[in-house]
Amino acid sequence: MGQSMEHIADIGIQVKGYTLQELFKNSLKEMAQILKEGCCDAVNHYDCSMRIVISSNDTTCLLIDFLSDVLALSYIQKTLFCHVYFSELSPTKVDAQLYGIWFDHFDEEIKGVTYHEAAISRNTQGCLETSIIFDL
Amino acid sequence: MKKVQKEHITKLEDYLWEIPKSFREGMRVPAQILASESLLDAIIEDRSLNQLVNVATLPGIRKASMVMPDVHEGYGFPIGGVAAMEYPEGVISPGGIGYDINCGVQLLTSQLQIKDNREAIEALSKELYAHVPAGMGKGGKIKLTTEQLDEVLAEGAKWAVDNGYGTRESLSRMESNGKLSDADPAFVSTMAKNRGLDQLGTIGSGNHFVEVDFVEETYNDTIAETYGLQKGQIVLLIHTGSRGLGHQVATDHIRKMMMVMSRYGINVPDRELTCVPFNSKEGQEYFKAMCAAANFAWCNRQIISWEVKKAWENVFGKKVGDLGLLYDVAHNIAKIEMHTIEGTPQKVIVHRKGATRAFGPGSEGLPPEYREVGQPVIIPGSMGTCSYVLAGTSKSHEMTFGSCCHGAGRRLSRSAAKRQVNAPVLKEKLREQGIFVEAGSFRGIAEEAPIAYKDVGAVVDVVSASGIAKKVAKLKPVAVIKG
Repeated sequence: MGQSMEHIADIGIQVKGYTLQELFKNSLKEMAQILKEGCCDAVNHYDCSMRIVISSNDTTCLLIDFLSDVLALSYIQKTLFCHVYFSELSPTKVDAQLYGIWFDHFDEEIKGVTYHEAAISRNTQGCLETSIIFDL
Repeated sequence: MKKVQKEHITKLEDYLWEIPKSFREGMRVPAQILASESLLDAIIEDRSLNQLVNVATLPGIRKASMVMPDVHEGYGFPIGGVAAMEYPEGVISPGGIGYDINCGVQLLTSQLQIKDNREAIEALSKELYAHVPAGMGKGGKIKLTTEQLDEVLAEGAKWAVDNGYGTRESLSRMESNGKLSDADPAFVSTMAKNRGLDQLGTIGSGNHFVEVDFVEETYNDTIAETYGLQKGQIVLLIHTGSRGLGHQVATDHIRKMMMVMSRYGINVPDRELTCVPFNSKEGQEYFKAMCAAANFAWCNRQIISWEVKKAWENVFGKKVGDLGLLYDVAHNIAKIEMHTIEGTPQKVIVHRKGATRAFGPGSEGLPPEYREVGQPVIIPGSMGTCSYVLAGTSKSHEMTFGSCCHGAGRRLSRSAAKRQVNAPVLKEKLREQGIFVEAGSFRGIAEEAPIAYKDVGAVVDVVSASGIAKKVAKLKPVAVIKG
């Protein structure tokens, strides 16, 4: 669950999930879709798998730091990560396996995943949500 | 926080406006806006002035937080912002520099006139597109070893010259001679280095470009002559930065600073304003890494200019003379500079995020040939409009810590531009106007369409009328190469 938001300089998404895992998974897919539109729509294989372990001060930072590290791996490995399996996901630590498909060209260059206006909270429907602004 | 409205803003003089310290608790200095009244009315529409107020709360800030007339909303700092912090106890904030460290512009001059070479422009645009890797994910032709990358990070543009990409004379025509000596590659992470290994000589995507222009008009013949500009002359602009390496340096150090900021008793209203004292361990580590990323960017632009020269030779041959470097200037950077505040010269840490250094005549660090007229300030517009060459003045030192605007400034988000612009139609329309566009995607053309930007002429008129820069020349695009 996610939708794009207007931001004058950059691009934002509003992302939701009933659980922390769902929120992280949806955020991952939304970021991949910015890098390459439609890239996660019909994925039926994976070219590579990578482990990622991160600790942060709080859950919002953890999500932004997680996406930042995935972004860096996407560029270095020329890979789009649409799927993740969590060995551990606590409010301040993530230990996960990423699954990705190789791409030689992205649509958009994300320079950074910003902390600007990111704040995970539970809405009135009981869903976790946050906005995320990407620096393009 | 309450949104800044016009009634909160006082006019100090023509083109200079101020939000007083009393506007919000926590402001250590006022916030100043350089703009005409009509530009100010547009600026108020987004949240850039609230972001400017946030900057005024940072520890060690001196005189005022400032924005140039091309300001627009960013994250943390507004784009078009200038903030000078007390040296060495004041803070350094990666958000005051941006993710694209040393994003900047280089201007090359030719000896050819547009009137004699109009028919060769389309071929030149295709040749440039073939020679300069553009677009996301496209690596460059140079694959560095980690040892070579460390040399680039330490030496900047000099590495390019030492390795055959350009001439030694070009180094003196770059801000800081294309090298910040405080750089230390040891503080650039392995992840950042891995991202930079194949990115030298690439422009990337977004608003980065290589552009062919001609001098449509000159405003100051003496300075134009000093810069080697004349009406009708073909020139080339290169706009790019430190690519993924710089982005990762910013990401890494914002994260590190966020973990330790509370130890220094610092609390910021937006996490993207994360900062630490300049003289702290983390402040020094970031500064040295930022300098290294800035060096990477200067080396990158130098290598792109070499690629541009190869494309140029393929079209025009070698008999038409070399392309010369007019100047290379950064617009996302932090520098230690001397400025006079309340009558006392003092060192400050000047953050420029979407703002160009604009040093006036007689300033140290300018090439000897430009010292009498001031530093060239290069202001790219949008494709289809125009760009400007300005000259820095002594008034910029008095008013804006030797700084000026950096471009037109966005007025539409990328999504809004894509909704409003039919890219194939725009490309054809520009072609009819004599502007050839080569781009990796129609999406990129739509996002960067002229309609997405403010009127660069109105922005330049403000900096000129306020006296912080002099208009020297107006450049008209004839070919644009984008990622």
